[in-house]
Amino acid sequence: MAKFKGAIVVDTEKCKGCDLCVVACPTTVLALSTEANSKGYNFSHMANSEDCVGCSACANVCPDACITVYRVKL
Amino acid sequence: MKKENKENEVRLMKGNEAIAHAAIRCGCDGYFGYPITPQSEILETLMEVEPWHTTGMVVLQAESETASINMVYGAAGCGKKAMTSSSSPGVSLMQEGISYMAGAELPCVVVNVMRGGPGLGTIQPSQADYFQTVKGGGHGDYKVITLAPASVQEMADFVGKAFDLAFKYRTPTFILADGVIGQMMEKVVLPPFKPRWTEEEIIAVAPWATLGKPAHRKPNVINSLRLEAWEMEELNLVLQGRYREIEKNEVLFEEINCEDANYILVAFGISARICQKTSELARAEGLKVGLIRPITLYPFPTEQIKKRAEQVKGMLSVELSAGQMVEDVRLAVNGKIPVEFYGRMGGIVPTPDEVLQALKDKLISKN
Amino acid sequence: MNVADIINPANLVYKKNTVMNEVPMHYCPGCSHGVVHKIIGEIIEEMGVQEKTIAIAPVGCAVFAYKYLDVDWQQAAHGRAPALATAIKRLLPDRLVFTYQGDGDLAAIGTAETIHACNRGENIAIIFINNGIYGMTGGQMAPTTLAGMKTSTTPNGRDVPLAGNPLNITDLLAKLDGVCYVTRQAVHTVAGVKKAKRAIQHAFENSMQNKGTSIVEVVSTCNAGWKMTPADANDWMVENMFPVFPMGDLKNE
Repeated sequence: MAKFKGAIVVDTEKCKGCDLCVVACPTTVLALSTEANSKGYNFSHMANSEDCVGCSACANVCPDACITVYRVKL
Repeated sequence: MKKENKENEVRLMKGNEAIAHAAIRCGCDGYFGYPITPQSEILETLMEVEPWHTTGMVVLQAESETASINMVYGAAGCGKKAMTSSSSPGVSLMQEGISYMAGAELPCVVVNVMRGGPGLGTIQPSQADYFQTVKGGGHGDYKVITLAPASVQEMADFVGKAFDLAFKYRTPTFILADGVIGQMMEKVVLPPFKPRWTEEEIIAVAPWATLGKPAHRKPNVINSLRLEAWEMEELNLVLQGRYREIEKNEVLFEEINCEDANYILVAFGISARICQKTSELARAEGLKVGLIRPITLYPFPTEQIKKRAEQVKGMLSVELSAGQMVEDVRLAVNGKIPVEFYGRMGGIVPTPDEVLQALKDKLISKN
Repeated sequence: MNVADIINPANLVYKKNTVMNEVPMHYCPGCSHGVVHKIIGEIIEEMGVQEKTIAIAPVGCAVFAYKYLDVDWQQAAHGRAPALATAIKRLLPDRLVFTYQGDGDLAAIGTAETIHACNRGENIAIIFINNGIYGMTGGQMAPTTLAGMKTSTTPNGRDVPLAGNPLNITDLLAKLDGVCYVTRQAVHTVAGVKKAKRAIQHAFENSMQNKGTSIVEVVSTCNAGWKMTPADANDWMVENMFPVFPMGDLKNE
């Protein structure tokens, strides 16, 4: 089975910290930051980037379209 | 499909039928309406003529007046020449949509063939929707240009004129007729055929129209919502500026026997036709009575009435109502001379003699 | 391979569609509206119909939809979107015309316009967001509020003898001959988002092909109105809304 490695970029200013991407992530990569953006939201980030497989689950469920996903086949 | 008549042919028809034929001929894109007496002939005539086979005009019987006016909103938002027609209770139901169209700066034509009210009222003629129309029947600060036809010929002529004004000022425009003008048959010469606008022509006339966003422009949004107070005031200032332009440029009235008059009757629509006869009867008795017929009720011929107030001893506003336009006549005269009112309600149309007697009782005998 | 190496245009697998612009959406964190807006943008981009789209915004939370998707919009009075869409599509039959309406807009104040547009078989798509509550005005009862559900106008829960039953308008619309496609979807999971996207695309294709009226109900969350976290709202929706508004196609002709 092919193995993938992924990474995401969160538009931290647009992220409202709703947590839905964190819940949707199958490999428990994401978490809400302790830092807040200019609107006061604790934005999402890769807390455990090693396990990201670039599946785009987070981006699909993101209500604010603030996640971009990259993926490479290993 | 009935064959349309030749250019300049004199035909005999009802005012309501003239509206329908004129709509097709002036390049109207869409009519949306709901039946109500005394104006159902407009929709019926359109459905009989089937203009969708000839000009491509869309005609649809909607589920209500509310839906009708909102269909007009949708069509007008695409820069299309859209219209509806109804009678008093139905027009009440349309007021939400008319206010939205005023706020969204959308042109359209609304025909109100007035009947007696309040409530379900009567199917007999009335002019008691003057306030509703010229003072703004819906919510918010807005005005609608209001044309008041007094003949079947004017019913035909005013449709194209109303569309021209509606697009010039991006505002709903009313043809405020009464049940008599809608129902009576007279000879009429219908306006010549004008083709409907192409999409290129619409873009030139109405660059704001929602026809689909090409790559080179920003999205067009038809909208009356301004959540920020300053934005809402800004929109209101734009509208008010436009209303001042309308008041400056678009006043229409007719004067009959006014040059040497001592008394003037002020009346529109069928009341003006009656008052014209009253003026003739008065003059046969040696009484110099003239008539001012406002053709636009908004903008109102305030300046002309003010001018005539310098010359005459009194004015009588004659209306099929409890007295509505009389307030605007009084505002124009501003206390300079007495302004009295005579009217009948509930669908009763006064005779010329009755009006002459009222003029004598209320003004001439008091001088 | 480290993160910096992976983040490279050559490895891009998901980015925001180009029909959706950069204006930050006003919706509450976790609101389903954003997801539905996003997939509508993706579909319009993929179908290549941006120049042919005329969308109608409702009154309710989605009143500002016109700010976020770069297509031509008309903003309708409360409930009247299907009337606007009727005229637009009849005058411009080669356009994609869709309305975007909430439960109050479509199933309360606009019931007549909705039913009659569907019954005439207008060639429009109706995107119906059903979250069982009035979000914009502060969480009052909607026609689709569940029995027993608490809202600001049913503070002790919707009492059916007092307030009536939840209205399953989509079932009703599926019975009308003018309607060609009725489906009920949700966007709470990746699979749900993908299915909802296929459904909306099908509805848009029906409009372009003038096949009749399509209705895509998206059973949605209003976590602010329901007073729970977005993740809890998704769970609550599955547990409570889905039994009353079950997922799947009701009609596909």
